[in-house]
Amino acid sequence: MKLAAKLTLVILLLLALLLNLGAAWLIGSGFSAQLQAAAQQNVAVHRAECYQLQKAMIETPNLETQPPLVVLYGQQRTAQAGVGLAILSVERAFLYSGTGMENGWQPVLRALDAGEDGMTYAQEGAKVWQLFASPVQWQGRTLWLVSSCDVSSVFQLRNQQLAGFARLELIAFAGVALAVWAVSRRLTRPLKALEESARAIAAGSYDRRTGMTGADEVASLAASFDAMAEAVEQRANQLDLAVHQREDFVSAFTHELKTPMTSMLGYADLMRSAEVKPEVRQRAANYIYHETKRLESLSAKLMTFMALDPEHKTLELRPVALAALAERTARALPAEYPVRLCWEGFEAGRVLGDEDLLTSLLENLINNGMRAEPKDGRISITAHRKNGQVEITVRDRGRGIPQKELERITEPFYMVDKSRARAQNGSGFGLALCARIARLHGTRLEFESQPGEGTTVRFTLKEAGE
Amino acid sequence: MNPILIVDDERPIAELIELTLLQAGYRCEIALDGETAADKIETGRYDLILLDIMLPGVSGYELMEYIRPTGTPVIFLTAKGMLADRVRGLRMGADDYIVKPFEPLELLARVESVLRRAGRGGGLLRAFGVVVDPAARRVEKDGAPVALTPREFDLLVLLLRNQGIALYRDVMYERVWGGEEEAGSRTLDLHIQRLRKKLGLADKIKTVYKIGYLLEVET
Repeated sequence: MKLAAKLTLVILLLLALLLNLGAAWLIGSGFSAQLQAAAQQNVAVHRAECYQLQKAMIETPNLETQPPLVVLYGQQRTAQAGVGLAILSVERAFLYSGTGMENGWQPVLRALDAGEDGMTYAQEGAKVWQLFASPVQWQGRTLWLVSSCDVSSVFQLRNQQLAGFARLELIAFAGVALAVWAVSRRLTRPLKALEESARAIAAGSYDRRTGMTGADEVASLAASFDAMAEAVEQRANQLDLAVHQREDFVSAFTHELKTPMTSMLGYADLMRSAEVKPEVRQRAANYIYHETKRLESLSAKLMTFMALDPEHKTLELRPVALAALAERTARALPAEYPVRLCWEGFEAGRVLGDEDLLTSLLENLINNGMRAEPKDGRISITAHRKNGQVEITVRDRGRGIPQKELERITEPFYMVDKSRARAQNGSGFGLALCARIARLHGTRLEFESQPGEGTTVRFTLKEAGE
Repeated sequence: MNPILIVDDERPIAELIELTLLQAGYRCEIALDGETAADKIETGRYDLILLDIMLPGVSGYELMEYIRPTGTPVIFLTAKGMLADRVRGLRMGADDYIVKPFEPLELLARVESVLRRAGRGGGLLRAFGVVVDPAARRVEKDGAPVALTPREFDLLVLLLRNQGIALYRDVMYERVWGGEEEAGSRTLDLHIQRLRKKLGLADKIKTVYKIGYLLEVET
C-alpha cells in the first residue's frame, strides 16, 4: 500500500473514533438531561392529577362504582390537563383509558407494576411516552391513576442531532481525506524524485543529481544522496580514467613492441626465403640489428619503470650530498657531450633521496634538454635551498614544448615529435620514468615551457640535516 | 598503372613494404609523415594507399579525410589489434587492414585482393604466356585454360611473385605445404616437374644448385 493511502486510512480511523466518541458523549448527555427535566415536569403534572382525582372522590362518594362518571371525569381531565390519563380500579380493571396510545393497556399495566414512584416508558412508532402510576385513596376507597406524558420531542431532537452529526462527520471525513492525501502526496513527491534519481544512477548515468533544496528531512536525505552520488561518480570516473590510461598504455606499448617486430620479422623472412642482392641483405641485417637493440632497450626501460611503481614500492631515503650527485650525473653522461652543463649551488648541502634514482632523474632531464638543441649550447642545473627544502631546476633554451602537450609528456610512450624522438634515440619513456622517481621522493615535476624559448623543469627535495 | 603509396613513419617498415611490392612488380612511393602523405595524395595519382594509423603530426584517420574524395582504395596498417580500432578503420572507408607484425606474403595477398576489387588492374600475374589470376585461382597458357592441383597452383604463384629471385627450397616447401619437409622427400621437385611440363616452362624454371628454384625474368 502506498504511504499516502496508509496515512489517509490511519488518520481517518483515528478521526472516526474521536469524533464518534465525542459526539456520543455530547448528544447522549444532552438527551438524558432533557429527558430528566421532562420527567420532573411530568411527575409534577401527575401529582396534580392525583390531587384532582382525590378531590373528585371526595365530591362524588361512589365514584369508583359508577364507571360512566369516571369516564366523564377522565374525559374532562384529559381535555383540560393535556396529558393522557387512565383510571383503574383496585382490581386493575380499566374504568377509563385515554392515554393517547393506540394499544395502551399493556404499558399501563406495566406502569402499575412499577409501583407508586416508578416511571416507565412506552413506545408506539415514533412516539414515546413517560408513564407514572399512583393509587389515589380516600377513606378506604382506592383508584389507580396512570398519567402518560408524550416525550417524543426529546427523542426527535436527539435523532435530529444524530442525523446532523452524521452529515457533518461525512463532510469532515471527505475533507480530511482529501487534505491528508494531498499533504502526503506532497511529502512523498520528493521521495519519488529521489527514487527516480537512484534508478537513473543505477542504470549508469552517474552525473544525475536530485537537485532538491530545503530544510526538512527529505531534503537533507536528498542532500546526502547527492553527496553519495558525487562520490560514486568520482570513483567511477577514477576507474574510467585508470582503465583509459591502462588502455592507452597497452595500445602505445603494443605499438612500440610491434613496430620493431614487424621489421625484424619482415626482413628476416625476406632474407631466408630468397637469394637477395648483397646490398639488400646488408641493409636488412642492419635493420634487424637496430630494431632488436631498440626492443632490448625498451624492455630494460620498461622493467625499471615497472619496478618503480609508486603503489608497490617505497624508497628508503638517505642523505645524498649534492656535490656527489652532480659528479655522478656528469660521469653518467657521454664524455663528448654536445652541450655544456652549468651546475650552480651544488657545492654544499645534502638532500634526502636515493642516489641512483636521483642520478638517473637528472641524467634523463639533462638528456631531454640536450635533445631540445639549446641555442646557447648549455643547460643550467641549479640547486636552491629554502625552508629546509632544496629546489632543483634544470633549464634549457631549446625548442620548447607546446602548451597543450605539457600535461601529457609524462605519460609513458608519449612523444611530442615522434620522428625526431626516434631519430634521437628517444623511447618516449624517459619523462614517465622521471615522474615516477619524483613521486617516490614525495615531489612532482613542474614544467614551464615556451615554444622557441626553452623549457624549465623543477622539483623539490627535502634537505637532510647535518 | 599508377604507383602504390606507402605511408608509414617507420623507415624500416616502409622500406620493407616497398621491397616486397617491388619484387611483385609494383611501383611504390614512400611518405614518412602525414604532411608529406597529404601533399602526395593531393598532387599524385595512386592505385592504392597503405596507411599507418599512428603517424606523427597528421594521423592516419585524419588522412582518410583527404583520401576519401579521391576514391583511392586504402589498406590500414595498424599495430592496434583491438576490434574497436579495426571497426573504426573500416567504417572510415578503409578497404582492408593489416595488423602489425605481418608477413610480406600476407601483405601481398591483401594488396592484390584490394586492387582486384577496386578494378585497378592488379592481381593478374604474367610470364612467358602464362596468365594467373590468384583470386579466381585460374591459369591460362597462351589463352587456353590449364588445370592445376591446388599445390601446383600455390607453387606457381610463389614463383611468379618472386620472379628472378632464387628461392630456398625449404622455405618454398613451408610456404606451399606448411611445416618442414621430410628429409629426402621429393614432393617439391615432383611438383616443379609437373609445372614445367604442364606450362611449357621447362627452361624457364631453373634449378639453382644448393639453393632451390628460380623463375626467370621475361626479357
